[in-house]
Amino acid sequence: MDGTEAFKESLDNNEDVQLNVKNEEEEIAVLEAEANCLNSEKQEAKFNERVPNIDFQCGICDMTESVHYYGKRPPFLYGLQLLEDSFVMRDPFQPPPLRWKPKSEYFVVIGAKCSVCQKIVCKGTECSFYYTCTYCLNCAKNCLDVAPTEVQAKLRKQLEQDK
Amino acid sequence: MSKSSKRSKKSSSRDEETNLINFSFCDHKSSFRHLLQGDDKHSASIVEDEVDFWKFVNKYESMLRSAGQPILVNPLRDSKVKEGEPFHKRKYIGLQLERGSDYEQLKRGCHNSDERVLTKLKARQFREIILTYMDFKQKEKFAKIKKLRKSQKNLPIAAFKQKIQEELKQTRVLIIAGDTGCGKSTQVPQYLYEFGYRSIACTQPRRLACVSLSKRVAHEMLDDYGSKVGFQIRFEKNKTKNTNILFITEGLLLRQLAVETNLEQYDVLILDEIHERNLFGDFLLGVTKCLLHAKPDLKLILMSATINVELFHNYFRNEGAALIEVPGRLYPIKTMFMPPPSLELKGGAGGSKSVAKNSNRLDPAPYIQVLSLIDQKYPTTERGDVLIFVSGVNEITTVCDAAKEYAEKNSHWIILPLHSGLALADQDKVFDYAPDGMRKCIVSTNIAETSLTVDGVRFVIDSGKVKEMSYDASCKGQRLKEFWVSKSSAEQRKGRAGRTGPGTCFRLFSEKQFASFEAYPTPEIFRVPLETILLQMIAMGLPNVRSFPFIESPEEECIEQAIWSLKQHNALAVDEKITPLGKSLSNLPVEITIGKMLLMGCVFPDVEKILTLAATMSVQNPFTNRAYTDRKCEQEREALQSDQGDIFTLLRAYHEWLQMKWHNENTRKWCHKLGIEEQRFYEISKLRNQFQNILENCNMTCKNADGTQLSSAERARRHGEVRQLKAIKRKQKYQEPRKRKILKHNHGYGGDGGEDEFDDATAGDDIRNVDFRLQHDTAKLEILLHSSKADKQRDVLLLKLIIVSGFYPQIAIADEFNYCKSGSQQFFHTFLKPFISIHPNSYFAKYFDVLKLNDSDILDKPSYYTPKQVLSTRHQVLCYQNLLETAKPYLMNSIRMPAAQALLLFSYSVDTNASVSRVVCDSWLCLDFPVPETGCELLSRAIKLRRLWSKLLSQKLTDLDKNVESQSVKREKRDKDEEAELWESLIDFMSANVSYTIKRLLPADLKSLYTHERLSNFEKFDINPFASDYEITHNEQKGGINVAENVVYGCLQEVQWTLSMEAEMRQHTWMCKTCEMEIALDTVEKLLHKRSCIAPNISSSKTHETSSPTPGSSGADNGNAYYCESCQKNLHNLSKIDILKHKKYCNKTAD
Ligand SMILES: [Zn+2]
Ligand SMILES: [Zn+2]
Repeated sequence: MDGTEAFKESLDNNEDVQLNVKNEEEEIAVLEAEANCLNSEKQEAKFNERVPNIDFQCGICDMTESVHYYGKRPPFLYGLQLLEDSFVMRDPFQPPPLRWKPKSEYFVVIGAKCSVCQKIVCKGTECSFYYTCTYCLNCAKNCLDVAPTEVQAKLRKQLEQDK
Repeated sequence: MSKSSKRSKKSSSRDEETNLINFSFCDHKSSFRHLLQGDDKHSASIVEDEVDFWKFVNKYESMLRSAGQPILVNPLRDSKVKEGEPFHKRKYIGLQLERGSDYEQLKRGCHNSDERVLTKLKARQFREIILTYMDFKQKEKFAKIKKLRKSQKNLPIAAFKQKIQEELKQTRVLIIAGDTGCGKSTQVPQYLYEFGYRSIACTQPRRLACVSLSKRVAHEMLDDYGSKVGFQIRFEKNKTKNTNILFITEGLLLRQLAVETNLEQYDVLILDEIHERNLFGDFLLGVTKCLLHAKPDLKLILMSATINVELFHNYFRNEGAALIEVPGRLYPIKTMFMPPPSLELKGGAGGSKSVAKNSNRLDPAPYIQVLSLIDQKYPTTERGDVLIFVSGVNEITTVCDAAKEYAEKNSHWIILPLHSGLALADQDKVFDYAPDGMRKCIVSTNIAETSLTVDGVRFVIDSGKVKEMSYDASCKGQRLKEFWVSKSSAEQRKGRAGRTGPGTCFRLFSEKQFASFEAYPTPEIFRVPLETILLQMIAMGLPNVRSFPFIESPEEECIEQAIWSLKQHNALAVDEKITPLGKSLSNLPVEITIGKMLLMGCVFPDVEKILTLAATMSVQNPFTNRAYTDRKCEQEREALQSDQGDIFTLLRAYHEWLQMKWHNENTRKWCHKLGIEEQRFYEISKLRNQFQNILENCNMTCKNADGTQLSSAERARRHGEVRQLKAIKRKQKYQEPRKRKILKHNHGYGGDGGEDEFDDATAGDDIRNVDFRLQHDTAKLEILLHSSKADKQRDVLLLKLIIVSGFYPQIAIADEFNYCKSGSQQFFHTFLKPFISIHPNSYFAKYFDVLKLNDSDILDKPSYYTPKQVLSTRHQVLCYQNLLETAKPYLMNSIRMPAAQALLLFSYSVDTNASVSRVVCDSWLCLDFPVPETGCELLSRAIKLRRLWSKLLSQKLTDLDKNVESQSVKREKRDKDEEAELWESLIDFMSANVSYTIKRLLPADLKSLYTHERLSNFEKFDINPFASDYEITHNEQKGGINVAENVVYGCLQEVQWTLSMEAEMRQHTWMCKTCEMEIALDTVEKLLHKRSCIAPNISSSKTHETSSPTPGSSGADNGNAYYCESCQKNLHNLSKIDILKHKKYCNKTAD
């Protein structure tokens, strides 16, 4: 009976009413305890660490992100380090690590400063080039004509691609 | 060949060199795998996915081989990574492994160190491959983020970000109008976050949208695993104190705003989809308009499709609203008007019933013609799916059947129905991809018009029809009728063809017809009953609901009717102030009827049962269409069927389901077998918990004192279980959302794909099951099990009473000729509407005999009772949950009740004649009690019970009002006793064996119904024989006297048979069983006598005998006797009236 269908639907529309769930605090606590089983103090510290509070903005494409770390050795990096100071974010595509358990590849390098002009640039191929260090594309064009031919070829290819 | 032999020669000459022609790292995983681990105490993996890594190595190696560079280059020393010259590939990579490159370090952790394989060179080369892989993964992740940002930037709304920021500095109300696909719902909340707002609420009309939007926005904010973005819907909340953006349903936000302390909670409110003009959406508009004045810091953002934008702009003009219009992103769509010729012919056809039935049925041919047209014009290599809009589920079935037939010959079609009654898993199928060379054909109701967005649609076929629910205040029923859609809906439907590329819309109506369509759909506020929303408004403290600034006000008459009905329900007092009952009702997240059930049930000893019953009645019917169309489902359901009403069948099904949960059985499979949407059962369970919390929170019920304590062994087991469940939940939470799958051919309509979904393996992981188990330990499950059980007649009776207490006056009576008619001709009448059928899916429609009287139930009438009505003790009425008109008006979800008892207990007004042999309930149903005194006795009992019930209830409610936290133990005990007494007596009362007739009064009958005169013997009533503490007053309107809150005694005109009965009665004297006196009294005199004849016993009569008679004693005191001069008798225990009466009688007989 199609009548009942629309009827049910209309009932359903009236359903979305609710009082405030009681024991809100308790519920939050449970939720958070689930997310990581630390006691509340450490949890707080842990939590703050998880909030990205460094603003990153690419000087070329304007990409804007909040990142967790600037430097070479992010505490959340395991088994690796960076060769230059970089803007690094915790990997948003992986669940947060469990207590004391190191997490592999739990990072994304977003950008760095151009080694020549110090402009902040993102890792995108239309904004920067890396060879031994990061260059903004402008400086790369200007500076890398003394670089090995392989490097120049690669840069040329990259510049062409982005057109 | 020569080349490779040359190379192998070369490699043999320098055996340290790594040549990929004769060596692969993939063949020596065990020798190198340790390099994938951190060189520290954890020795954890440094790559996320080892399998993926080896795949990469394999590809990398073969790439080098095919590029003619099979000899791996010398690795770069770590110290040289910053030097420009000479060139080395590794210098492209900004990463470095923490593990050093000493041989010692390179070997550490290796358990299989074959020194010929794990050379220093190879180990260092392997490290470089790891770095290459890591760099590759980094680029991938970065690209993922960048792509996300690009697609965000490409949304039409992005161009207006700056403008939104600027406008918000100027104004407090901003209207953003943009069509689907402009990105407003996902982007605007994020913009606000960027602008610095930290508590943003965004309303959505639908629960599903709240969930999916919060997921999407969290993803875009790279916070999939955080709690910045949350949602709150009726059954679920996903929100922490760190949540900055909250997607919330309209109804919920309204309730939050009703609590004043919540006003400070948000700094910006976004009302999305306001063009939909839902009841709650409209209400929210009015509330927020008022709120702007109360909260000067609040910002308000209204978002709508580009439909009737001026209406909203004007509405907030005084608040200085700014308007931003965002153009949608639609590809061009070609419109083809193709009115089927047959359709126009049918338009005029009325005629006989069979013709009408025929024209009601949709002709699927035009739809199939369009499909074949598409096949002719567009090669299947060009992708593009079809979306068909029809008005309802029957129409979907008709079109799907025909399309399926077509698809048998043209096998590149996959037919998929889509409507809200479908199981959620089936709804999801429309999002899956059709395989290459195939097309999806989705046949949908208007659910796909705005609420669900299916991408990849290139062709839309629009019937131009919609079924819309309207409310008919004249019969308090809902009506579902087919209409032409509005222009704006037709445009929305058309737009669905141009979301992913240019498309075509086939309109199965003419351009001329289109021109005559309404501009916009009717707002919901004009189509629904207003009781709930008005009560909520009054409870919120709105000074005058009649002057509420609705964006478009409902008709005055509708508001008045709703207020009147609220008064009837006793939610509002006569002065329209909210009553304690009304206040409590407004706190309950349900319709007034269900809310009333819950409250009336609070004085019921087994509240658990009421909670379950109310929850069961508040969710969508768990039985899907299939449950009524599939023979197998019907058979399976048979065992559960109750002859008391469908709600009891449902209760049994729920009980059965709980029992399976108890035994850890696969409920999913079982639900599928019965055609039950299992989701509803989970909802019942959640809703029931919610009811319990609410009632406990406002002290209406006592907290369950954990009656069943778990033993320590049980506790331990439970603990383990909880841990396990939480682990599953965590796993599921972090799992990727359901990916769109490729559809298989048999996944379509009528196919058998999907049976495997009910396997035991998947059942354990069902997240709803996990949630259910988390919330219900054995003790709670036991309570649920018990509370859903109603197999005792007594339980059923009490539950039915509770139902009627909520749903009265939704009562229907059988037509008097039903006894001689067939099933389809069974009609029922409500007060407001005659000739209604029972819904065909209902048990009562099939087994209508249970509503009839058996021959053996029909009793012989006394000779003086001349009317033709049937005398019986077993008359029944129906109490229904809803009245719905589709093709015909139907009663939905009815129960059957003993007629007289139910009516006397719940009628708003009960009117009687002098002998209470005739009782009229709500000026509509007339009960005749031709056996003397039986009517009066039944009514007295009803009044007593009714008053006790309402006394107990109002005690609870006023305690609540005074905030009495804990009642004194003594009081509680007394209440408990009274409650128990109430329910025992109610059961007795309901089973009372009284014979009567029942008749529906017609308007003509009402003209001569009442005396309109004051009661002639008013002076007799020095005590109220019906309710001693109720003050008797004249009823100026009907005549007679008010003897209880709802009862007027003696206002009905006597009729022929009542007079004859009285006459016959007078020929017999009556003996009072207590004082053993024989006396001729009429019905009420007897009642009065009984009232005053309380304490006569042997000893007292003895005293009277010894004391000398005092003739003419004026006292009516019980102790005194009266000496009658004419019959020369000592009469005991007579009231003044008794004496007067006796004198009159004595004198008569003396004559
Ligand atoms: Zn950039
Ligand atoms: Zn630079």
